[in-house]
Amino acid sequence: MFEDEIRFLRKMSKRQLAQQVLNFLMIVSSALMVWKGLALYTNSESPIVVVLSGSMEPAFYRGDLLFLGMPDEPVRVGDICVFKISGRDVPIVHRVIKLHDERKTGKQYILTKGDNNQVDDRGLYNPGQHWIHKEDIIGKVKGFLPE
Amino acid sequence: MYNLLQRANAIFAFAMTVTFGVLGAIAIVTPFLPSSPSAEITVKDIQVISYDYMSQGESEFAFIKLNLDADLTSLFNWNTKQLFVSVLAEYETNSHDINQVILWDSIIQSKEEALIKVSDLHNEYNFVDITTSFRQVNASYSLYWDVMPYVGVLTSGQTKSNHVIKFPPRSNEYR
Repeated sequence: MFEDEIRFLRKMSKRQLAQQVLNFLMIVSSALMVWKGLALYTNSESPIVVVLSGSMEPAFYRGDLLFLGMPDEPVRVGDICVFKISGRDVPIVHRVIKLHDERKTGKQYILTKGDNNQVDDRGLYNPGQHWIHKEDIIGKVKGFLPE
Repeated sequence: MYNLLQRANAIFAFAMTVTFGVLGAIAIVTPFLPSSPSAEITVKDIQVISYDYMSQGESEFAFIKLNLDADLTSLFNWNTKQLFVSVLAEYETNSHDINQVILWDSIIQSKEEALIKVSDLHNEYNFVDITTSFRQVNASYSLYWDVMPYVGVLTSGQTKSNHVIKFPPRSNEYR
């Protein structure tokens, strides 16, 4: 299956082979640097996400690309946030509909809901969990590119 | 010299570059388009009734009736896909300095629908506080909107909330 390629590789000297491998690693690591740099600039662990479900239609459809940022200021009602429920890996993109900031600690109690859902996200949170907090949020949606 | 595949590849790559260039230009120009939205909210009635709320026990629920008059047509430009509009209640309590609750929302998908006139708007969602009581609370009501473009940056706006209303004491049944 790869006979042609293997024959081509055998013809090269060890030095040329090493050069090819190094070239390949350079390209891969450049891509990684750009991605990580973007994550640093937007202050979010995952600055570009893909919409996974239809719960924010007609604003976002499955497959759309969202650009996130995570500024230091606190979350506000109406923000569309991407968050993860602790213990689960799936990021969810929904809007903040209720917010209560504790005066003493500054801790934010946040309730979210998808625009296209009839009920709020308490059904999605962990059992017994009624709010999420700033730590659960990966980023706020800043910009958008249709798929 | 150049076969069909190479030419197709070159054309495709160029098309991609041009498309991204155009989308980028649209995204950059959109925030500079002028707009002049306006809205007015007047509170007609508030009732406070106590129920058992599953997540926090016996809590006071507020039932609000509002008049909403808004003209958001100027927010609709060629890059606007939809507007997300909501009535927002903001207040502070002794234990929590910022409380923001969305009472009603609507998705507006055309310029004609952006002239909103609802007289007798009831809160769509439960209006209940995390401290379970609305004692001592003054709330201000404003209209909040999110402009969702076809391509580009999400922008939002809010009217100034100048109508501050104190919650009445708890009543026993809904009138």
